[in-house]
Amino acid sequence: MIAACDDFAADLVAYLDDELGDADRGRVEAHLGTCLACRRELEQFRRLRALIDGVRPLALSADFDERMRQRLDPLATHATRRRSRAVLWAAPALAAAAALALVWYSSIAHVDTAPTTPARQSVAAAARPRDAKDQAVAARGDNDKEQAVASRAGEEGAPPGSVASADDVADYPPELVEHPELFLHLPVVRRLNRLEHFEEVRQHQDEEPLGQLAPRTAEVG
Amino acid sequence: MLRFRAGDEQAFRELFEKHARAIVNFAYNFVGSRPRAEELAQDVFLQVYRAGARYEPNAKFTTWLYRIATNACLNEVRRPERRYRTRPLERDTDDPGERGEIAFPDPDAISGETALAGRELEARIRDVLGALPENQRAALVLSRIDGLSYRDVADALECSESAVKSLVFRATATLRRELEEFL
Repeated sequence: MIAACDDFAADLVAYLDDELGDADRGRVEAHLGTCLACRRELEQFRRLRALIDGVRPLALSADFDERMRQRLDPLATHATRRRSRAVLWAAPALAAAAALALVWYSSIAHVDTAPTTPARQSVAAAARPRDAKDQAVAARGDNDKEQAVASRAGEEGAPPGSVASADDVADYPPELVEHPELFLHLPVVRRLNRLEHFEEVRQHQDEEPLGQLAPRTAEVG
Repeated sequence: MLRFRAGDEQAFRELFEKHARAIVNFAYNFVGSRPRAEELAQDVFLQVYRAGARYEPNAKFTTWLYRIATNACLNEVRRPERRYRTRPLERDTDDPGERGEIAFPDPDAISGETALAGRELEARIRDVLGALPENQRAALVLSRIDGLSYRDVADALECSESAVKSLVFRATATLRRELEEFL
């Protein structure tokens, strides 16, 4: 081997491992074609690889799987318990989500199709965001204050379709119609109850109470 | 692994059955004791099990697995209270069926004398492997015995591909020098 062959030493192993790119492989093969020492070295590496490849793998102990299972069982049990807990929590979590969705739906339903009767309006007013409530009040147009609210809503770009239109009690979720009191304890309803327009809503509600809403609403706020 | 991440326990079992023996053999090259190698391999799969839910397929599963195995083995041999003697390796049993043994000459098909020579050669190879610096040993075992590409070895060892090329060459050069009488 000549001094220049040192440059190829590492490449010879990589060449055997088929880890060289095309250019390097070509360079190594060109050198091997002219260098007997490197060809001998390559052959030694090749035999060494064969020796290493000939070492047969260790067999596993007969109880290897069983020992693994014993170590894995506590983890698997823990994972199963976590999944069980998730299932146990799933029902109440779904119930809570459904209740929130109901409140949200009642709010949206009122914005899209505002009620014409004060009683219905009081129900929806108790469960909708302030802007939607402003729009619904303005839609009645029965006093200057409400007209001002309507004007403000228009300036803020509220689409005409979002202002109240006629609908029916049947449009509301039955739970909301039958048991509106169930929603009155919600923080959002209590906050709405304190809004400036809620007073007139409550007045209409007193005129035409709906179910148990009137007395419970009077208690709120 | 993606199936296991999705909750399929059977998928983990399949991974274990497919790779356990390779990981035990990989670990054996570091600790030289089959019981300890098996224990380490089980540690590796317990880590895989625990990490299952967080597994992201950023690399090939085998590369990821060998990275865990390499770290486990290097941590093991570097523990002060576990200074493994690497030369000679511990001999767990005289039963050739239960431990690694040189494949040629085939001890089942040839004379006892040749079989003994084969076992001696196998022992010598393991001794030389065990005496290599840890990173050279890991690179050589991963590429030559476990069949990973240099790129995958680099991922497993968290180094560059050119570093792997150098590690494998230096390990091979040492083995050639130490095993010259058999070449």
